[in-house]
Amino acid sequence: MIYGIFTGHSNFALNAVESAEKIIGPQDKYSIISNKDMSSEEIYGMIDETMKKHGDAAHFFIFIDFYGSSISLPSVRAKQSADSKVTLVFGYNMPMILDFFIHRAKKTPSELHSKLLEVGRMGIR
Amino acid sequence: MKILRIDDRLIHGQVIVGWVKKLGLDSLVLLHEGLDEDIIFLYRSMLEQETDFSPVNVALEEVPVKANSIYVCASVSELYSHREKLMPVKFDLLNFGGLRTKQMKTKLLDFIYMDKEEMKMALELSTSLGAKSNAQELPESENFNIVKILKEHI
Repeated sequence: MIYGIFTGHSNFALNAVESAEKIIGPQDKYSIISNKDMSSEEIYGMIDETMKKHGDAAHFFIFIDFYGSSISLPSVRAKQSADSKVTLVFGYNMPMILDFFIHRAKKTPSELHSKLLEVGRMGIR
Repeated sequence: MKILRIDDRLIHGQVIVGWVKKLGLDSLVLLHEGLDEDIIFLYRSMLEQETDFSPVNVALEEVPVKANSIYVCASVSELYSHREKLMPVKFDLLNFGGLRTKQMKTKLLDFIYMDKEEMKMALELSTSLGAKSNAQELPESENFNIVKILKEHI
């Protein structure tokens, strides 16, 4: 199963995922990380700790609220350290969260990544 | 307007959107002591194309003078070590924007943590640079008198 790490400023990630769960029901195998009052090193530590704690996951998708945020660099570091086991998704929206939970058990990481980019763009009109 | 910001997250959302975009700044100067090229590349890619971006290794290079700009550095000690190179820029504002590493540090504000040595260096910088000093995350967020806070904690 692909594990999801949803990150963002303040309560962005928490509220976004909770809102998605109102639509498709409660989900598991995911974590929320906020950058609130955290240094870059602390953010990296949180991501790294989450990945180690769930080391049995086949793959990790790290969602970052926007490219250039303080979570970007720690996420890139996490990807560098875990190499092919991590996919980064910058600038996520509700359709992408929904499709991540709906499709993550059926698709490969590469297929899922393509799907999320497609639905994310389609969701914007 | 020339702003010197100390922020251990360096270039991130608050800087890119909250300061550069909001204040219409033309240039961003990244002051560092030997960051990897791939990290600098990543920072550059985060900025809009019209933003003039200059990474400067303060240990090796001179600090350029750029009008309507923000200079960003990760730590008080880095700035303090190279303070002579910063004098010619004549900053309008020394902004303590975020020092969030908490280990072995004293909390001065929710977003500012320093040890005693850093506090002394910060206070000296606030005097020697001749700029107005503050602690403020964003141009429109609460503006704290950092000099007063530092003096209370030293």
